[in-house]
Amino acid sequence: MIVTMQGLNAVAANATVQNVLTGQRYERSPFTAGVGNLYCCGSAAGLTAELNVGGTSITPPTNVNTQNRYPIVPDDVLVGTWEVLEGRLIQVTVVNTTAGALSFFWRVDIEEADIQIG
Amino acid sequence: MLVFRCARTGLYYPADFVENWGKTYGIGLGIRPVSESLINDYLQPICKSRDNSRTMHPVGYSYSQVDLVEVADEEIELNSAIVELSDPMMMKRSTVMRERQIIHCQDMGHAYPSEKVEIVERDNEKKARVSEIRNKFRDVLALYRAQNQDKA
Repeated sequence: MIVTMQGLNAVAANATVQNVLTGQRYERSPFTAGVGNLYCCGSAAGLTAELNVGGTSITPPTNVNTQNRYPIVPDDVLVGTWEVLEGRLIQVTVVNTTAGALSFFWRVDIEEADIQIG
Repeated sequence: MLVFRCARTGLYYPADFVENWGKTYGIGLGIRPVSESLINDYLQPICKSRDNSRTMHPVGYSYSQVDLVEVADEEIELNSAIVELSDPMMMKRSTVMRERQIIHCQDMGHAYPSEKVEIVERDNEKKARVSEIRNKFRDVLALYRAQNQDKA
């Protein structure tokens, strides 16, 4: 099973959005073990994104592409195949480093991982 | 003078725009030369900023077609695009885009009425000047064509 969230956040000039997934249904992973993919696009140059899963840093602040549209899978992947355990918080932090307001388009897929017990 | 014109915004890019695509222009915008001018996204909410002069709707690249056109030199000065490389932190461009939003978007216009009056006045003056230059250029071009026709 795969769950997906997709959205768009407007980020003010020189501002930070601590977590674009806040309030989303799968902000915390619903699966005992899952494998996630983060896709993102910016409306213009100057956005950086950072992924933390359960308090573990997956990427440092990384420049976002400037396609000005919703992400295309798999072209716009920022980081793929990261592990997430049940109830762990997925945090995507976005920073706008420019003097103008920008849009951040994102998509997170979480796929249930098969676990062999015994 | 020959320049490239953005089909969406009407702004002019230098004649070497396509030749230097990916070197000095359009870095990160793909292999095909497109306009790197910004457009306003009025569908997204106004982003409030600590600095009031930065409060605006978000902006993004237009990715529209660029066409080679011949225009008067004076008009290029008035309508040339601010290229990404000369304004990486978007200081100049965001000011221009915010002014466009105050003119064209009602909610921004209501919020800054005194600024709007001044911006509209300045915009009208610029439009009149552009119109004057274009008419003059058209007359010169017509005269040139007529003279050449006579020679032929």
